[in-house]
Amino acid sequence: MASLKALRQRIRSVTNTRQITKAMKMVAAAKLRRSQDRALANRPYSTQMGQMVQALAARVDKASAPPLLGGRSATQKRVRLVVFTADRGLCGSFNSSAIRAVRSRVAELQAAGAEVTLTCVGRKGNDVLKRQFEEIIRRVHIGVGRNLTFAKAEEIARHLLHDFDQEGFDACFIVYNAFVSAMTQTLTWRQIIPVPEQEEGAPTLASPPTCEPEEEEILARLLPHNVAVQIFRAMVESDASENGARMTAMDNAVRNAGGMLRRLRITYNRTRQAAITTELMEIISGSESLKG
Amino acid sequence: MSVIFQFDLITPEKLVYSHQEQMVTVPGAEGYFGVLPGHAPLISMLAMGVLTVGFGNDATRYAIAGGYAEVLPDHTTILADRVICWDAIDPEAVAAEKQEAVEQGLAVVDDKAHSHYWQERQAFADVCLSVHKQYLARSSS
Repeated sequence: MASLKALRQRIRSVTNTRQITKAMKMVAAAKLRRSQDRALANRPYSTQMGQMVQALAARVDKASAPPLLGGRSATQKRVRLVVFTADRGLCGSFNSSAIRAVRSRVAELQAAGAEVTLTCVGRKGNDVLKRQFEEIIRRVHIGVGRNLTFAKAEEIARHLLHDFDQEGFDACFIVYNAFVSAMTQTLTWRQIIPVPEQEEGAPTLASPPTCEPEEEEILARLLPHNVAVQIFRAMVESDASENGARMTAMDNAVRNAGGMLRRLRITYNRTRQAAITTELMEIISGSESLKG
Repeated sequence: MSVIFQFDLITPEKLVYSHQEQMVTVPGAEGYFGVLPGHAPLISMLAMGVLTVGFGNDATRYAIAGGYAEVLPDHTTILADRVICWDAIDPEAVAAEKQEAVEQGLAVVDDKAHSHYWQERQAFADVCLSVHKQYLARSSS
């Protein structure tokens, strides 16, 4: 059995840990409110943008379409994955689920003979993935969480499009944790290059609109812009999810620490009681033997 | 035919304005156009300029840095890259931003896309300043 002193130290350290996790939970909860608003505020824009791109895409000929829309080739031989993770840890399975998904996807694609490259947004994803995939990570963006602006998304998109022109990958996917509620995030894969075919049953524009200027001209600007929009969406969704995940994880940690403290206190008191009893026994038996 | 239509002004960062309107005037890439209820369906690219919501003395103006408009008979949506309402413009902050854009633009060499970006920032600052002047003129009249 552990000594009383060791138990006392352990109780103190668990109490401190509980204090810290409680504080982190509060911080995450406060941040969650803000980033949740931001994620929800972004949805009308990106949804509308998606519909508009697809309405225009349906009107142009696939064969003559720009590569951002039609893709360079029918097969996906060279693929870029953009991974969104947090800059910091201590948020449950938030980072690890994204990383695990990317790992298995890379293995799958490589087994199929595709050439895969990665863009990491967020420090954690880069830290873990570079151990295994250092040679295929092309770009790393860190500190995005502190600078959640559309300008930042445009910057990431600019790098991505630069690579698209230079390296000529056929397809680009993004992976991020979409925000559902503070408790739940769903890992989402989304193809951003080329623009995916319209889903069945998706809402479409009522009647074919006139375009000003011509479709091709609009698309030439709209498509790169859409890449930035999709990246921005992933950024804000991922940020909201991160804070939700951290809040939940810290809440669990606070509860676990509470349970652990209760068990430690019981052990501590029992041990103390046992020590006192032993001492008493020794005193009593000592005085008994003096009497006799 | 109804006399109003649903008008939404959205940026990537938020839903700026959503209301029933009688008329908006939009800076299209090929010239300003007015939207009234029952307008023919149209998708248009927007130029940098001034978006006017409503008409006459009740109009509200926005400085807009480009984007896209989707017009349907009963619903018009503006997807703006950047937009500022004329009563929210702080001329000093805009002037500082313009100054920065000018300096940054001069510092860029050999990168067309990048220097173009700063030129746009500078032009947008000019639009903001002129819209702000209109706002002051209206408030004082």
